[in-house]
Amino acid sequence: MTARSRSSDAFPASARLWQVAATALPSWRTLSPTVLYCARTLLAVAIALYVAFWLQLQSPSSAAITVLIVANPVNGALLSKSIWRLFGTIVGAATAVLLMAAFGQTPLLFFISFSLLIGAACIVSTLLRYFQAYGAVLAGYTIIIVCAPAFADPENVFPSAVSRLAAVSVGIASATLVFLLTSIRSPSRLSDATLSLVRSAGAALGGYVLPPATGSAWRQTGPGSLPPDIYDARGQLLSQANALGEIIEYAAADSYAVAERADALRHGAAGMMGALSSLHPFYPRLGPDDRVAGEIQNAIQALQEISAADPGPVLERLAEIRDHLRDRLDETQLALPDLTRLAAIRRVHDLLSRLHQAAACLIVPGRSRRARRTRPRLRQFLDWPTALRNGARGAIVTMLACLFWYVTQWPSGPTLLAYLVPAACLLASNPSASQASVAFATGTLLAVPSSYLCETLLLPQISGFPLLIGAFAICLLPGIWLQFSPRHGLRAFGYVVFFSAMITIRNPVSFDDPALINGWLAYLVGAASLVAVFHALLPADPARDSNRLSHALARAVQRLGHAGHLPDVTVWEYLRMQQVLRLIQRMQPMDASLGQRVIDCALMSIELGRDVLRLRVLLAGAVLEPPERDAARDCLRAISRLRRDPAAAGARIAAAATLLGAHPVPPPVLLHIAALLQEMAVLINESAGFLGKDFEVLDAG
Amino acid sequence: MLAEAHFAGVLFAPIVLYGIAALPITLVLCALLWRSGFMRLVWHLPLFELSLYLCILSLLVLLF
Repeated sequence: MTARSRSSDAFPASARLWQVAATALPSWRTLSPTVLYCARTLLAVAIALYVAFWLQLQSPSSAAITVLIVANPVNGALLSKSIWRLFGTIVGAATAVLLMAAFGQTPLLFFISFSLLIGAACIVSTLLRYFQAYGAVLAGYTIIIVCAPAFADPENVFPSAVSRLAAVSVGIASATLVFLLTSIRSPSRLSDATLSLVRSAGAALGGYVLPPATGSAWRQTGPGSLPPDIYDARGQLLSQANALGEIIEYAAADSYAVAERADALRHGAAGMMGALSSLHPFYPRLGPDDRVAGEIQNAIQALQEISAADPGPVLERLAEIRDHLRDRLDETQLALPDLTRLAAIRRVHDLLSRLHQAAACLIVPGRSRRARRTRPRLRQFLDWPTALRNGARGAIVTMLACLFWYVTQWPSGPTLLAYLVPAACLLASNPSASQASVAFATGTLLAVPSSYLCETLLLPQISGFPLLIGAFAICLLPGIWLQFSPRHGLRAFGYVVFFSAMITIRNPVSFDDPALINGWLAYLVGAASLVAVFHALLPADPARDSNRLSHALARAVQRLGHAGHLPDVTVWEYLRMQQVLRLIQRMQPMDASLGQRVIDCALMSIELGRDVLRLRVLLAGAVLEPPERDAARDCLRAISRLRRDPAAAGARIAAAATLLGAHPVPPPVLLHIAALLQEMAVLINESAGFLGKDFEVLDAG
Repeated sequence: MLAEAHFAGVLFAPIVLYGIAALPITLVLCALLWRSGFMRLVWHLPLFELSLYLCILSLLVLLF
């Protein structure tokens, strides 16, 4: 081989190596958001630490930890979390001062009061949503963070509280300034999310109610009988609609214009979620030769073309199609009365109305204040049993940890409390807390060797603030990089927060190896205890929670049969859909086909509830003969006793539907009521097991 | 200029009071600017709002 041939072989090899590297490494377009996020976070940490040192705060690392906690690539989320963190810190610090003032000399009373306050914070946190829940739990565990340095000398509690507040304020100011000033105006997430939801939901619902293509027809055989792709689409759309609520909150925190429209947006999201509840097996579908099918196809096409810039023409077209359907409905009622077809057209008309209203709320800007006053107030579902369980767990773990410290007189006891109590509170409202506790504890354990390397190898070599930040950045970077990874996010969060807590940086830095090692031992014991807490102490029971939610849904439908206050359909539906979303979450560890059957029944119960509300509205306004009115009211009485014997209630309602439909010359409203009762009977018969008071989720297989 | 204030025995530097006082004024002004549509013309909203806050803070220090 000659030198020339050797050099010509080497060049293609390096080019091949470069090609392999270029394809294996992610592109800059994929990496750049994470790189920018890391750079902004590290800059905010540097500024927070510098200001904390300059102000000579007691605990400068609290400022850095605050930055790491509130940092978020979405500005609205950062602002929302910052506001609630500040509020929670003020409440927690004030409570800590009062608690220490009252029980500074009586440790047991202090522990009891502290445990009860932690329990209350966990209860409130479970009942609230988004970062309001975080603020509530923070208010609870700030007490131990403020009191820990003051146990030896209770008079220090006030300076400790003020120092904590100052450190948190510095961290929030630093993070907010850096992230907001370095943000680039990008296309609105909210606009993209709303358009995507409207188009996807329209396509899914329209495809569902239209006649099936030749050869792909499926027959309704019961709950759980839909094709798998419809279940997948339903799951994705429900997640999308649920996530829209969070996007609206963060966008409202960031933009005044969005905050003005927030109420309309929430109603739009709630309406869209309600429309998605029609994706169940017994939604009446049009026949293949139905003239209405063409109009539905036009409506779906119109929804796909909707845009934020000019939604008016599409919404007008949707309204026209909806009005055409209403005319068809009237024609059908006057012509040969086919109750099934009447029900199908009525449901499609109703679905189009809801889609039109939801799309208008979500996309049309500048909703008037008068419209806001006429909209009913949406209610949040309050899951009291889960809240009480989380509160009890929080109180018990706090009490046990405090008593452990009291009995053992371990000097690092406050460090154990300062880890275990916040971690237990933060994870309490996590839907899969036992798994989350393992991830969080793993992150904390990874922080121990990392802080050892930093304290013993890096920090003794440095002098000056820039090298300190450099050392910090090297150790924090892996955690910040993975903080928003779906798989490693919680682990990374535990790592960055507790690495910063373990590193005792002061000005000047002092090295105390025994205190360091004792602190690490406290974190190790805390991490092990955290995992044990969520596995052994009142662990979540998905089957029990699923039963509870299923019974709550059935009871809600039954209550509608009673005379009394008629709830607004959107508000009622939104509450029920929140319960269904929780049911979906609780049933995830169970068999998929069981989950599909139960969720189908849950959505059918919501459809049944809407029908009952519609029936009550019709009866209130219709002029009927006494026998017909009595038959319809008898159906409402059957609904009010639904759970005792759903099959009997279904039979009574079906008989009433036959009676009303057999009228020789039925007026339109009577046909409408008869079609409604026929649908209600079908829904009850097909979900009779779910609606009964003896329903057990695990027996639904 | 204000002297340092005290609350329940805790001393606050005057800049803290000016800073707290400037915040609601800034929020009200921002709301008015949004209503009038002026904010839609602004290139970088957070930078504008921070600058507005600093201007109001400076004005308060100058006037009081």
